[in-house]
Amino acid sequence: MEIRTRVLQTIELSLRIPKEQLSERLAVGEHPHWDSLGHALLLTALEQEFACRFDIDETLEMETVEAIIEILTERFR
Amino acid sequence: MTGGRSGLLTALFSSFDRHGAGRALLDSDQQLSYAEFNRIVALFAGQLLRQGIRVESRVGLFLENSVRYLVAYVALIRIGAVVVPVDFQATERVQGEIFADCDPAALIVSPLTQRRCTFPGPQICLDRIQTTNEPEWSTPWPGDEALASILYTTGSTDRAKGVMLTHRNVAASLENILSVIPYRQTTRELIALPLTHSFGLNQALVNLVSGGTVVFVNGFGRVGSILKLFQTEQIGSFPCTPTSLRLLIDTNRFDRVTGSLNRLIVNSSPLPVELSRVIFSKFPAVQLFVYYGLTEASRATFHQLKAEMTDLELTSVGYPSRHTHIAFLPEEGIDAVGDEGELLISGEAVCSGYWNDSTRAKRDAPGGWFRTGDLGHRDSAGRLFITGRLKDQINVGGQKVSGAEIGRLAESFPGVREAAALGRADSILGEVPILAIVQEREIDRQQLIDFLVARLESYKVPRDVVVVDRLPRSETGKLLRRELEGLIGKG
Repeated sequence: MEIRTRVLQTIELSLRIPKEQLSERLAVGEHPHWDSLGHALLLTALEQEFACRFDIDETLEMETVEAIIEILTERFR
Repeated sequence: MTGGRSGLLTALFSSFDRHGAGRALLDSDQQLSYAEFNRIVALFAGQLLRQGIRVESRVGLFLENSVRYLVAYVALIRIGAVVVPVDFQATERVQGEIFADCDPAALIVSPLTQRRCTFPGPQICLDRIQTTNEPEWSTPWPGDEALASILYTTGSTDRAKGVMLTHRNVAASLENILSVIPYRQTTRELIALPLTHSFGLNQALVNLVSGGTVVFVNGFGRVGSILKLFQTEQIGSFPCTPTSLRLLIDTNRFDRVTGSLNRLIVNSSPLPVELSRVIFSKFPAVQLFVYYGLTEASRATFHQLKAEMTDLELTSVGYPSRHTHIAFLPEEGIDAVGDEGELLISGEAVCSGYWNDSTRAKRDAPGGWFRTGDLGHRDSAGRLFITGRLKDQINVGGQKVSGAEIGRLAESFPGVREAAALGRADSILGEVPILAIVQEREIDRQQLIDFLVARLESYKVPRDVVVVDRLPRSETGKLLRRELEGLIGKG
């Protein structure tokens, strides 16, 4: 499965954001379920899904769906 | 000052005139000088008048943290309308309760919030603010007793209640801040706190009356943006919650980008002594302030915490503010020792009542005092300590959650006979909700959690469900919370 699809599925499941409300432009704080606490849960879920450990600089950049996809794509290039 | 113009509006608009070229507000989309802000507020106020908004019209504000939020707020109070902030995290049910309770004439939304809006009436979408010339308008200035806003708070009930704040209440709260914390034209404050709450909103307003610069971030989840802005905007002042501060410090980047930081203002939940000590050690030049207040009585006390204080002193919320008096009502059944009991507050910042609820007076203790529902005492130096809570309320990282709301919703799940939510200590958030249930029949706990997730704001969802044989109650049916805590603890 491509990275983009896996990221969107992980966000959908961990933050319980319906698929139709997800877009690559969506950012932390722009959905009621994606607050600071939800963001911490999402990072853990992404690390589990991709069996990796984000470094601090990566986590600081991961503020939009698009940035998350980019960072993971770069990692698994 | 003209005629009956409120002190709040006088302070704001004279500041706009005095600080014209100074930078007032900025967010990720735009920045405005005081002169530009003043002009855009006037343009938007004119637009509101043309759209039929009048004195005492209630107008909902459903916007993210942004420059446009302040434009809308100031324009509305300028024309005598009443601002009703609607929290971005509010579920459809809570939005519906607020709209039904205060019947807004319109709702101001942004492209982002419009997608989640359930308001059936007129919506005014405040996208990038138009600056074309519009017809002149004039309308009388509202006075000190005019209602400025209705802030909905869950409090200890399972329904949102609207706290009515007059221009005088808001002005008194700002004066309380200014009497303790210096704000200057050179202040640059970063606000990630929600502007729908009095903590964030009054921080923004106190900067506007002082000529400082406010930098908005849409929530503490944007840790990367916050760290970048500290560096690029040379942020000096940062109001925050203990939870958000801990998250930032834990990045191990915070101390590298905060060379310009000179002040932290921490509120919403108690600041742990250990975290205060970390701040003193990592940021020795930073002034650390905490305060105590409620939506109904904002900024009631302030305390500047210092490294040389004892651990006990660091748990105090300080001294009553300039416009505030405090007293204590002995807790029922407990002999009062000195100044100890339920904390009572009076003063100009205390709200004028609750919207649409004549049964709940604003000052419901003898002598015209506001009952806070918090327990506390004063030491011999006059410092206030908060020691407990009479209200059925859980403080999740600064968000106040009603246990009754969660319990009642859980009781509507098939198979749950009775339910009650309590707070459990949490090292990150201070408290998290847990749910105790009495079953009619075996239920799937995950299905119960899924049911609650679909109906509650995320921070209200219980982290654990504990099955008990019964909920301990008094003879009159009142839930005995301490006994239940004991039951769950033993379980």
